[in-house]
Amino acid sequence: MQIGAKLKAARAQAGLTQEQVAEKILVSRQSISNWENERNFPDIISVIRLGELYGVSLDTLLKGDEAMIRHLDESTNVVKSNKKLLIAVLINLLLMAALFVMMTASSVNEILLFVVLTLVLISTGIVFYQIIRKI
Amino acid sequence: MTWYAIALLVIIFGLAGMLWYQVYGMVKLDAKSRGLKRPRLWGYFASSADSGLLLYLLGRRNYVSTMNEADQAEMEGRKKQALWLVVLLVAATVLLLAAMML
Repeated sequence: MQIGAKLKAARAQAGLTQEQVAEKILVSRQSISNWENERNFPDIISVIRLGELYGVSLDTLLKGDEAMIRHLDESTNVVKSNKKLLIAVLINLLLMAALFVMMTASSVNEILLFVVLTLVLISTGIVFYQIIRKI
Repeated sequence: MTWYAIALLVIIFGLAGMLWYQVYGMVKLDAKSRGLKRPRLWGYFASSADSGLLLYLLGRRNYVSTMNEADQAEMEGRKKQALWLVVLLVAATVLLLAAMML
């Protein structure tokens, strides 16, 4: 059984309406409805609050629901899921800083400037590449 | 400005337009598959600026994607084209820089 169905069953067991649950865990009634109908997933804080409210363990709510576990892993581990993008952005920022330093220098070697500009363009392209891959 | 610099500029604008269209299409498909309202508006918003796309990618995380096979195939096709367009855009821009600076 997926988390949506479990939440619905647990709420029915607890004898609460969606409005009552929404009020208690400080979200909108629409959010409760979306989670129960699996239109989207609750965040981890809401899952913990719902577990406490319904008297159901996290293990019961999450176990066996691979999609939900994947969602939690991706949404809580921002660094892990965006490692390449973060590295590309960091390199891009460093190159842009180097370019800025060169532009403010009194005399600049044109070929060196061209090389740095090219590297900035390539790193910007890589950032776009990583962002588009995530769509 | 030399004729080939102007030609490169035209090519760059063309490639940028094509990239915009692919990103718009991908975001529209993705928003539709996640049940978001007004997928076309999301497409315009995400393709209008880099921050728009990043904001969309952050905001969509709590919505499950239920893309059918046909849409998935279209998404993969658009993604490949978009990635190639990024490569070509960078190459064309570097050539333009070389034409203007060297």
